[in-house]
Amino acid sequence: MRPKFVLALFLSAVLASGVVLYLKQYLGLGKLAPMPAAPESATLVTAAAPKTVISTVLSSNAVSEPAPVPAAPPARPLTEEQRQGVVDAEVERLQQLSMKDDPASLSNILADLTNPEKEVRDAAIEAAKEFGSSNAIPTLKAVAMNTADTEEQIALLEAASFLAVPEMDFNTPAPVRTPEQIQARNERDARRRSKMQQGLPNSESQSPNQGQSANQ
Amino acid sequence: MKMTKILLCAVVVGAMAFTAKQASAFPLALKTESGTMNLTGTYGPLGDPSLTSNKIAKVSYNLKKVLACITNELQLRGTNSTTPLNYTFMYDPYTQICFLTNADGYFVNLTSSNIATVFLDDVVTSFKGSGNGGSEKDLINVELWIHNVRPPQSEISVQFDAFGPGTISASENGNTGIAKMTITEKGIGFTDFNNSDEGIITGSTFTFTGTGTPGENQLPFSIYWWNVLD
Repeated sequence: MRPKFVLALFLSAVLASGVVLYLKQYLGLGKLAPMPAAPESATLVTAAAPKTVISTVLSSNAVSEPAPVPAAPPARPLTEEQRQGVVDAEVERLQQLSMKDDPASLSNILADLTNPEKEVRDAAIEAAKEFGSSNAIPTLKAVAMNTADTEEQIALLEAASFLAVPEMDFNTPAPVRTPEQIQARNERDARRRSKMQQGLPNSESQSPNQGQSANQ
Repeated sequence: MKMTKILLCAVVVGAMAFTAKQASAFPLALKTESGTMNLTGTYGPLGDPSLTSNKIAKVSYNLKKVLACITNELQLRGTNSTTPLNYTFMYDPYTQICFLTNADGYFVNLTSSNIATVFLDDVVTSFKGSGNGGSEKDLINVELWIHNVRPPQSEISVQFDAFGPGTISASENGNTGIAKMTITEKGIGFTDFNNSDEGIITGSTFTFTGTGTPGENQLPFSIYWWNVLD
């Protein structure tokens, strides 16, 4: 009986030691709590976070133990209305970017050429044309080569061709005209004006959101 | 006396309904416009022995260029010497007016100023739904004509006349009553730049889009267009 008891006690002790070693090695129990993160890294982490989050994180730096990281909630599939809202917002963003001139805006536009949503990709092609930089040509061609949709491929290549054409230059000197040429030109303008008079919608109506009217 | 009051009330209610319909508007913002101008600068006379060859000049334009011409023209006319930075080119398909505007009340009617006109010539329609929400998808022939505008540093006016087939997409949320509408064009056009004798636009495209609360019987737009605008 006594050797059996000693053996059981010994095995229990070995098992308990094993558990303690395992917990030390893999779960970090018994170790000292990690030092708070350096101020630089804290700034980097919180730079893009909202102010409320920043204050929370900064105050947590004073505590010796790191804050527990909450598990991310499972992503819910968007409803059709929500999905369309996201698409509309991205299209609007692209249209705003297209009116700028900086390289970062062009990069953001070109990134959306491979967006999963076709509506966004189409808007990105138009935005690239509106942005008006020939720097977009290689990307447009490269994306076209990797696109299975024929219509989209054509649109991408047409956009690349469009950007290869020089933009209209307001400083180009106009050619000198002979009196006959001026006469012919005036007649052509008159024909077009006549067309406009025939089809001109009622221009008396005013938009209800008008403020300081400056009509002529 | 009682009958007079009833008639008076009926007149007032009728006038209010009419005013509400007149006031209802659905302005759409011009979000994109681009194309390639193909120009013959000068034709020259018949039988000129010095004319042995000619090339088509090609230049591209986009919405930035178009807006630069429009705002410069307004400045030259003295219509708005201080165009605000955050203005938008709008078109209301119900009133058929093009205008520049912003959130602070700035407004210039470009149609009555003889600068911009949209012609909606033909519409074939498909739609589903009712007054409780629905959607519409039409094929159209449409034209956006920007004309009589002088580019910056130039005294010679330019024209961007883009026309061709396009689409109208509209949808109305039955719960909110808010509708979204988009008008697009992909076609060709006429242009006149830098005193050119002739000019053709290839690859013309423009997009108007916006949201609003349409008035009674204003959707489907195609039905309104057929009965009221065409």
